[in-house]
Amino acid sequence: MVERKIREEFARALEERDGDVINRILSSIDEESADELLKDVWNTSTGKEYGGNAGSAFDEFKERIYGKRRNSGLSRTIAWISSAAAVIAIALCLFLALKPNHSVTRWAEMTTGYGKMDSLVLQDGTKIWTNAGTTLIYPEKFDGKERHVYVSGEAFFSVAKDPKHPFIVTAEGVNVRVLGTKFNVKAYNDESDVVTTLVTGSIQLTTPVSDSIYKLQPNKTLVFDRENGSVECYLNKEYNLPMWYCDELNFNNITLDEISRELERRFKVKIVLRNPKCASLRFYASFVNGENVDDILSSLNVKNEFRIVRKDDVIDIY
Amino acid sequence: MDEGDISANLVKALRDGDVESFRSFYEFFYPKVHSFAYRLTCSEWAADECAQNVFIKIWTHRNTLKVFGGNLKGLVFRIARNEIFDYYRSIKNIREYQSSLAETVRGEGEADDPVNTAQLAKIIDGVVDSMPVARRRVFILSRYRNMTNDEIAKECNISKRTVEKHISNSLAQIRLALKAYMLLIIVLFFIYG
Repeated sequence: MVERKIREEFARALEERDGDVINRILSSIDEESADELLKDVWNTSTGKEYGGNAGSAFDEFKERIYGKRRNSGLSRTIAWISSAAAVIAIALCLFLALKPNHSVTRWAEMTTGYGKMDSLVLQDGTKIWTNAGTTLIYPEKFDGKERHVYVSGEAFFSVAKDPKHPFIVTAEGVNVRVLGTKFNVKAYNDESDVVTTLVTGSIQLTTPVSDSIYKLQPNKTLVFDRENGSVECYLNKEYNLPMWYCDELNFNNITLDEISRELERRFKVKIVLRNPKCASLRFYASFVNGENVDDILSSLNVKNEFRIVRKDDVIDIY
Repeated sequence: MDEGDISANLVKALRDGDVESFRSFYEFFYPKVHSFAYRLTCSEWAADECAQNVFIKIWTHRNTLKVFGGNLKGLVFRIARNEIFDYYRSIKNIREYQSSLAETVRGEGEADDPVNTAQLAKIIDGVVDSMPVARRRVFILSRYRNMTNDEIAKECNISKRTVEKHISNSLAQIRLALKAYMLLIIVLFFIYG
């Protein structure tokens, strides 16, 4: 029970609207007594004194629990940008939809997995063989002035003659421009060299580092090193022309390191050169009878220069 | 609408999270809660804050509140009473801020300066009461609740720049009122003193 004196003082503070006295009284008595005083105030507060509008207070309440519906300056800007973007996108879609069909090129992609080889004939009659681990991107239908394809990996081209429509191969930055010919492009993205070898006809090459145009004669190979931008050109012996598409493998003064990468792709195995000395051994060899990877590696090892340990698809060379 | 309907609506609102069903309960109790808080805090802005907070608490704790068959009035009283205690717990901060604000306006006053800080605090309360709702809320959160501008921007869902603008406007409004009051008191002091 609250003392009469405190009760009277509290009533006077309420009457005089003195918040500091109310605070002093409430904090000087125990919680039970404070509750008793507050309960009295609660019971005598009918709400009739409230001069505001409970409806607009409720609107403010909703705003507080849901956040402001009105957009802030920043979100207005974002809204403006997104509606502008939407208009542009719709215009672009309409433009693309109404554009004449022949100028839209539909591209196809062909990927050849490790341990596989593939070939296809393009719509113009050009035949392409793709070696293991190669991706070829080509249009379903050639239109326009040029016939353009993209290759990452190794491919042999037998291009159908059409002087009016030059055939262009883009391989890891190197452009090969041809009229009608047979040539090989080797441009794996994990190797720095892009090797182009011409078999018959003539081709023009450009590299990404200069404006120079290289003209290649038959049996010649051009090597562009993507790492240092150097260009090297040499004449091939007849037997060293790329014959992989006929299931032949030719190694001409090539390191075991390069050979093992070729074998990895061709036979879908992993070859680990444990000894750096082995990696730089050079070989001249030709395999034309469909030998498997074990045959090839043991043939290369006629001098017993290294040790071959095979476990499933992983071959370790020591 | 009698209390039974309101209770039924409230149960539905809290169960389904349906804010429109909450309206009848809100509009029935808000005037009572507000006048209760106004009589105890003696300040319009504090009454608005307390009353609004009572309903926000009921709403945000709707999943854990047990109102089924319980005493609605008793529930609202308990929450409102806690709000009043919260307000008086924070009033020390508020008074300190008010007097520091009053000091900066008054500057290096004379020893027999007739204007005392408690009076100026009351002036500030009055100015805060008269502020537009959005400005007042930002001012309270910033100066009385010590929230950062970033926190306020998030809480009120407005940009940080808007928060800064509200604060500088409210401070300008308070300074103007304090200066006018002090000038008036000093003039009166010299006339009648």
